[in-house]
Amino acid sequence: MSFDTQLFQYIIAGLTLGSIYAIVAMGYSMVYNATKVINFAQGEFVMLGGLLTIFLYAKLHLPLIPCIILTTLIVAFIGILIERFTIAPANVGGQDREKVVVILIMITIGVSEFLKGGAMLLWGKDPLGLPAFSGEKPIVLLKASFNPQIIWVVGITLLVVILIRYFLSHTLLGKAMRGCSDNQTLAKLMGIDIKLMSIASFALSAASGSIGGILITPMTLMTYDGGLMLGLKGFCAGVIGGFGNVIGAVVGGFVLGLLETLGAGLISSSYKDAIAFLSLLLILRFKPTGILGVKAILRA
Amino acid sequence: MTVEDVQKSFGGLVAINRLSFTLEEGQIKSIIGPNGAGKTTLLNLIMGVYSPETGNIVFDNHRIERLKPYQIASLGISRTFQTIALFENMSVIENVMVGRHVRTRSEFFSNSFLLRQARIEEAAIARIAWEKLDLVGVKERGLEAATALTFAEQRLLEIARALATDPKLILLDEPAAGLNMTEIKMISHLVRRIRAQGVTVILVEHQMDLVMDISDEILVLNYGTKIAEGKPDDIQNNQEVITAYLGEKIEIAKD
Amino acid sequence: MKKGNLHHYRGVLILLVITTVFPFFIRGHYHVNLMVFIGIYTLLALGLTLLLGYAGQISLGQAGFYGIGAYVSGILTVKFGINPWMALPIAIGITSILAFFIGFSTLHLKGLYLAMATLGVGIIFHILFVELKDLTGGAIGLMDIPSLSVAGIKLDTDLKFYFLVWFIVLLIFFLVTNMVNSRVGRGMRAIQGNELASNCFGVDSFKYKIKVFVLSAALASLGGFLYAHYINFLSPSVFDFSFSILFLTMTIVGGRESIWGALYGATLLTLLPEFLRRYEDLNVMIWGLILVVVLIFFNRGIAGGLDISIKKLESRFRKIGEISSGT
Repeated sequence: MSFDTQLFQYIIAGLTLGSIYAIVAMGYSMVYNATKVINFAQGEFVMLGGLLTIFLYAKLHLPLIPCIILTTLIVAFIGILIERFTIAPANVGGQDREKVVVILIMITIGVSEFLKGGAMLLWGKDPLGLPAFSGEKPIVLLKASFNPQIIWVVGITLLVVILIRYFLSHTLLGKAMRGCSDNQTLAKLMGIDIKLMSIASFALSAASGSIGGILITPMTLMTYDGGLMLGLKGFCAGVIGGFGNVIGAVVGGFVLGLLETLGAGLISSSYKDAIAFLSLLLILRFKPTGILGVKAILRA
Repeated sequence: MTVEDVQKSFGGLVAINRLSFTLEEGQIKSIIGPNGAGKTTLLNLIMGVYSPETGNIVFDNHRIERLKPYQIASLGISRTFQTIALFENMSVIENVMVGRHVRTRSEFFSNSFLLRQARIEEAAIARIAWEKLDLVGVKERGLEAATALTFAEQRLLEIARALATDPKLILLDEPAAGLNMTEIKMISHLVRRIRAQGVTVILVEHQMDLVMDISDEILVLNYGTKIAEGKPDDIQNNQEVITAYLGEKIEIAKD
Repeated sequence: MKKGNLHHYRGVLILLVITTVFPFFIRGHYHVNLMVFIGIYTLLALGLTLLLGYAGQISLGQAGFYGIGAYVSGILTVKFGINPWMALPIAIGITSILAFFIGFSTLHLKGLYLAMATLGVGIIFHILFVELKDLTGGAIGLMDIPSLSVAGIKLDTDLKFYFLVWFIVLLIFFLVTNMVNSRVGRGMRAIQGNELASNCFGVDSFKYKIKVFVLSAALASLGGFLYAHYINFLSPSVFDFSFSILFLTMTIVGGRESIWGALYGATLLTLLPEFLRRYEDLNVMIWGLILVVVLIFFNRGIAGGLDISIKKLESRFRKIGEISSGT
């Protein structure tokens, strides 16, 4: 295989991987924008999306599309439950927002462990898969062959991004979600229901996360702990692109995906995982607000 | 101290507009002006919390406008805060002891290993802290939590803490706000005693009785600009000052 | 008006008594082994408690520093034949330098940048432990790490090592108690109370936060050193992200406002898996559940709960005293 073809293959793989990172990073951004919380359980939504769909499809023998819809709704509901039962109760008391946020982040880590443990109990430790959406026959492009699932991954991801972008900038609920974490008191005065924003952001990020999981499971299979690394790397992607910025999240996702596959292919594959975190550190060192980030947040 | 041509804006709003004034050693200089005139901003500029865009501030032959607060504290300036900024997680005496921080040196190693230098220093910190508490009159409550104090006592505690740094200049930001007549008299006596010990005082206040009574000089700010500066008598009769305060409750002591 | 200072040490003294008496009640190596681990984990959690309590920051990479301490000492002793006691300062030194750079780069920024950086660093260290096979032995592990010797006595049994670990833990608690009750401790508590005000009184909060972070990393590497020369074998799996979370959980559950919280948390979360042995599958879930429940309902952890109980008892005794003396 010529170098060009190889390169092309890496790029396509990078875009595919990047799609999932983009979805996960978007989830982080939405929740962060609405609540200032970094939801480390984000990766688990992806995992649940995959494993729950497998369960409904393989065990309950429902057709694929209803499985997908049902799973997405269930995971969105789980997101709401998390918000109501773990984030909301911890938020009470007029404490300094910054100190509370540390607690809330720890809570999301606890939730993530809980979900992981639950998945392990329900579905065991083995990797499980879904049938490819449009068959197994590889597509050949420029002398490189690709899994057709890739089109679904990138395509649906872009669709989700566009939908969410539209939602955030053109609907009332979406616009409210964007602004309400910066100044909660102001938001309340303007009639924005903080509680609703919080719930909506969790529900949306859970739903989009689960869609991401459903998309890649046919390609890469899913395990009970698959959410952890995806969640962490998706987080890196969010920081790289500019945390709290939804478009930044998408940019960061694709950038990271490409960096990872190109790095793994051209430099070394054993350090593949380190690429994401190394990029995180580099961004924190040189441009902490991310590629698209604007506000510099220095202490007084 | 000299403040020269200092300007500070926040976004599009000019908070301090090309302000200049001087301060003599041993003076009690008051800064007055309607709400929002920039008085607290000025104190923050002196203390290094903010840096001005233009102009400079010279204290004791040092240019201080670009320094950080802890550096300015070591040069001998300390302050109290308009909204009480005590360390609520600590006791009364500990709050004052933190005031001593700038004049002491023992670090992690000597503190942890109880080295002799640290122990001597610690004893001195305690002694001076109790002294200052006694000076302001809150000594009996020393071991209680800072949050257990009454509002007036908390204001006194803030002053004690500021005094613990052995300052050459102390910035008092509305120390009498929210106090009754007796308490204000107490503050007045205290400020005089502070000056008697050789400390220069900048006092930001709304209580005109207090201001007129103890100030050597008064500086009047409105919208960040100096509109008058001079002795209390001159200020009282200054037309611009009176106009600036129109619509606000004025308590000007009569002769 | 000066209080006697000895009451500050009552915790250390109680712990001294407990740890001296404990060996007489044990029944076997297994329990001593548990106690050794509780000691090591206490050091790790203590670092995080200081960081959270005094700098208000979390580190998501404590296991990484734990590993650096362990591997540096392990490699130096196994591959270069250096005396372990010489390797210790090198291990702590390297860890401290790394922590300094991380802290210096992130602690001046407002927000959770340190947490993010430690997340990245911890995971990168773990990957290095696995991939630098020539140095670390990779996933197979680093073997034959020598045991420590003190005054000619080789610490090759659980019980002997137990005494070393708890001697070190007691010493550290003694030093930290001194620190907390001193100028430096007040300075750091002032940062927590009101950072801006603390700056105005001479506390350089940036410098202090960096120092606390370096201290927390140093404690972690000390724990790593002890681990390496106790187990005499290192595998990267003990230094991954899940362990960073474990140590953080110990700090939170134990109580982040008191240095003793580290001990309580380490004890509970080391013994808990023993009790849950039957429900091994539920382990992870229960973990998460405990963390969440404690954070929501028992915000101050075990130490906070004890604090409240003691205060209630004290006031009840006082009331009894008042009633009986007729006041």
